[in-house]
Amino acid sequence: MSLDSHDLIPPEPPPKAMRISGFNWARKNLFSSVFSGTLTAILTVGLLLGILAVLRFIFSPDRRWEVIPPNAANYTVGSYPRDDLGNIWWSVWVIAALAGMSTVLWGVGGRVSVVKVVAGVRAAGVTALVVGVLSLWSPAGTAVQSWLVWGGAALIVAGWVPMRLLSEDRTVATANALAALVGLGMVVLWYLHLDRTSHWHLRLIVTALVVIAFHWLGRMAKRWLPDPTFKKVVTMLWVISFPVIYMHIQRNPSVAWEEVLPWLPWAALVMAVGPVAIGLVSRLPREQAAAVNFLLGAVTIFSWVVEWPMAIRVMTLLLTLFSMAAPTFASSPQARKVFYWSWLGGSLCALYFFLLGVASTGLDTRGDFLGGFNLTILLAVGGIALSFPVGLLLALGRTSTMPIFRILSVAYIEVIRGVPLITVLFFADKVIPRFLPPWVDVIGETKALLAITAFAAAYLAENVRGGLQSVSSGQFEAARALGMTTSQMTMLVTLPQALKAVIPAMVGQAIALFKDTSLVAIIGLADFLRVARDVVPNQPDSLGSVLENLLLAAVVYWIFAFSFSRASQRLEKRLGVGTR
Amino acid sequence: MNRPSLAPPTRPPFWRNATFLKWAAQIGVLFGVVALGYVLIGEAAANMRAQGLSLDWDLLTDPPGIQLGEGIFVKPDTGMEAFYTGAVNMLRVAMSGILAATVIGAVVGIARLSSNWLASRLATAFVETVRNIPVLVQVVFWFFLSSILFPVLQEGSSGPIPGLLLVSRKGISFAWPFPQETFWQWGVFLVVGLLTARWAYRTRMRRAEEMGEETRPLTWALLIFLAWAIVGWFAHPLAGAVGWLFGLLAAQVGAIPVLVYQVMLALAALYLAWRWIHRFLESRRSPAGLAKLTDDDYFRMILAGVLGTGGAAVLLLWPGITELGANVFQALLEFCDQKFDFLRTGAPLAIGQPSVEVPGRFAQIADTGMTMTPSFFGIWMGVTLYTSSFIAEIVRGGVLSVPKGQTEAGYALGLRRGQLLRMVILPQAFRVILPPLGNQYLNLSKNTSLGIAVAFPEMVQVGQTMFNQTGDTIQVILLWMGFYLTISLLISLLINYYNRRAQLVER
Repeated sequence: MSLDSHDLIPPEPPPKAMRISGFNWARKNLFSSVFSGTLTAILTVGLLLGILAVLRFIFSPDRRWEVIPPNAANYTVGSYPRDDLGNIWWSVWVIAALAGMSTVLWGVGGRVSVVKVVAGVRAAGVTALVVGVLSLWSPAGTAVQSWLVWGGAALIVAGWVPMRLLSEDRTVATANALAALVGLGMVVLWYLHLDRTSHWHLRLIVTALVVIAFHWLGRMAKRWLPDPTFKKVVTMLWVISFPVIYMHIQRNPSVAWEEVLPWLPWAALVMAVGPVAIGLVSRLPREQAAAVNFLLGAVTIFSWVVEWPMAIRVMTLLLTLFSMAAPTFASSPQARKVFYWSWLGGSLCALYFFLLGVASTGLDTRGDFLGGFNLTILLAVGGIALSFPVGLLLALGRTSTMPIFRILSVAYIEVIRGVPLITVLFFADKVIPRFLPPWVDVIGETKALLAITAFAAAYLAENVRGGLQSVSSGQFEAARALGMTTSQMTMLVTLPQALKAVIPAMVGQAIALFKDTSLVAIIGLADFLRVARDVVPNQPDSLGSVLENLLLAAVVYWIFAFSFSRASQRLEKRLGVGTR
Repeated sequence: MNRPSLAPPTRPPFWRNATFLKWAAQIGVLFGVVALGYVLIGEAAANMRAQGLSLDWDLLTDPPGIQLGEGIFVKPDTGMEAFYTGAVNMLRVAMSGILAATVIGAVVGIARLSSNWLASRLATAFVETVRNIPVLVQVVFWFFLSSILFPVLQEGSSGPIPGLLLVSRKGISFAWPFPQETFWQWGVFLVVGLLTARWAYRTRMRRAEEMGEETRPLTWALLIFLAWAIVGWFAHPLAGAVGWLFGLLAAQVGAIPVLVYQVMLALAALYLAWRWIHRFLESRRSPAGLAKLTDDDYFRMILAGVLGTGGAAVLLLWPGITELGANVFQALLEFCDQKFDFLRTGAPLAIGQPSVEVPGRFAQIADTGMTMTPSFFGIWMGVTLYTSSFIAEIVRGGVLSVPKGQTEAGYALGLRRGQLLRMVILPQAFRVILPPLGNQYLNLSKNTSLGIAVAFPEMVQVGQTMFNQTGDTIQVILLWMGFYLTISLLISLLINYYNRRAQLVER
């Protein structure tokens, strides 16, 4: 007798959650003992008093919340020239387009229970209604209160009615729920548009449309591109999007073409020489390949000695580095093809960013043009991205068997970790200009970014070191047995495993870095906190409204940091760290 | 014999030799780093000459011409005094902050695990709110809150608790037992009391473990300490003998020639280096014999030897260093000598109560009570609450790390809940908690540097005020680094010491 699947008893559906009466629940969770009951009583009184104090603070006639909406531009972009705000919107749309494409990869295709959605709507409604009703006792009767009361009531009805109509296991696509949410937000924005002159609500709607359009574009692209390739393309686009935004779109450089054109053909020549050199080096025997690399190195040094145009020097240096890496990474024809493409992309990017980097900004500002939350994002994202390679090198140096590298790395890491970030920022702000010739003018944003990178690299190095130490020695022995060189072993065996192990730690560190960017306010950059603390409360219309603005800053920082940490917890669960 | 002929072993050319390549790369990079430093420092020297600045330490001895918000020297006469004030202010915030953050963190961390729904939810809300807001925002917020929302100070203000607590925009003043000039003499009794209490605790504990009877070690220790404190309160002039001892020692220290100290210290340096090398070689030795030493091992031993010999040479060649040390030690002993006197009487502590004075047009808080300025309040509240949210998570993690079987076993042995917590859970949780706790203490100490944002005169704020006056940024930054690295080192040494003691001794 065979045991077929239809012979088995079908599994029973999971039991419905038992409903516990409110009274029993309270007896179990609030009044389980004399001590617990007393604690509950004390905490309830304290909580009510606290809520009352907060409400009294928020709805006091002394509070001037109305100063915040007119300063939206200050908060988001600081002193960025108001005539060029279009650049900011273009950067937002670039991000929106990439986000739209990435939604295809992130798999926003899950489903969420309707009950959960309507419960969320109802909770939001109850919160709004309670806050609104409680605020009626405060002396200031503003329009916000009626909005809170009526809006809250509407949300409760909207969240209650479907609850009665739908069964509990009805689900809805997450994408649709999100789209509905965005749509609702758009409608609210349309009616609430607080500043009728700037049409920012229209641009937000464009942003939403860009996300949706690129989502569909991504779906189409996915149909005729293999999945890993599409993933790689999107990742690369993300990587270069930030330098493009901050060096090109927002900086609006005016390139002096008459200076650039003479050396462009030479740059093209270096680019063309690249594949030849790489092909040679990866095919020739070791000694001859080393000779080619030696020749390229000599040309590079020569280019610095006779002072060729800077772009050519950088390109030659890049070519030397590529060809030195070629024997390791371009040994098979397949790998060589990838390597040619990386050379093409890498050299084009180098050329592009060099061209933009040397050009002066076309904006009508003095020195620093970034500010507000825009600057905070730049410092956080730039700091994480730039500190990654530095921290990696430091971690490899610290775990290396070569004593001088180890001593240098340990000294750097321990000194940086022993001092507060603010001293590193002051070092960058005050001492770096001293080390440079007088004609080099480094703007504040660059100095702050350098300091944050230098600081974060030391902490990242310690995280990565933890990962490196978690790779078992059997892996090294296996790599050696396969005949891998030290660099192949590091790049292909050690690092992938080490980095995967420390992703949660690195996300935690990224959140800390995001919070730490607020310190640049102390060295005088107009970041988000500085706008809230100094810029807005010192304007004649909003003089002295510092507590309101600081609370806004706290809420905004909190929303970002909290959602990042929640996302990292989900990531941790998905990676299964610590469960193996 | 037809064994396959082996090719004669040839050494690879030196440019293919791994050891040679490694060292070439290292020396090349070292050379690059040194060269870069040389170029940068040369450029900095040229720039500073052009601006009329120099890399000397005159800023420590010159009158700085600055005024500090609070501290020992409000109008310092030398830069040294200014930095001393900043360092003491920083330590005040750091130490009181560490104490408060530990208590709050422990309470919140345990509350998060409470079976009381309200308590655990409130603790969670506290942690999730506080740790996701940048600490600088919190510092600035508390500062402005206290200087905007607190009541205005007027003549006749007496605060929420008259005579004990006075809250105003000028600061929070509270009653405080201030040490008097006889405090040091009483302190001797307290130290002796602490030592005897510790001894009593240990003996009672040992007896409890051996005999299995309830010996109440904590009660005994507390009572003994209290007895010493009470006796000392009245009998403290007896401790004047300690001063006489210190005076004798100081005279002895001054009488010995510097050369003796120099030779002793140099010998100690050489001995330490020798011991390190010896132990290193021992660690490389196994029953099978001495392991093959790599070039890295040789480098380590040579470095230890060079450092030891170099240290000894420096000590012998420059007697000034040793002399300075001996002088400081002697001055310290003489300072202690002055704190004790048989004839000094009076209570060691006197309670000071907060009060208001009106020296000019505006009311001020008199310095009769202990006063927390708005700046101090801001930085203290900010760093304490921020750090306590992290400590709460550490405590929670530590308690959760104790296996559930331990709790069940404890109950099975008939322990009460309190005993279970004290004797089973906490000692094991403590082991997990300690290392990250030390990290949080380090973070708190470093975060006190944010006092600059609320004009609290700690190290960084003092330094910034100084270099705004003199332009000596490089010197100030070197001072900061020296200071914070010392603090970090001290805290990690302390934590490592306790950590070693708390770790499981594995066989």
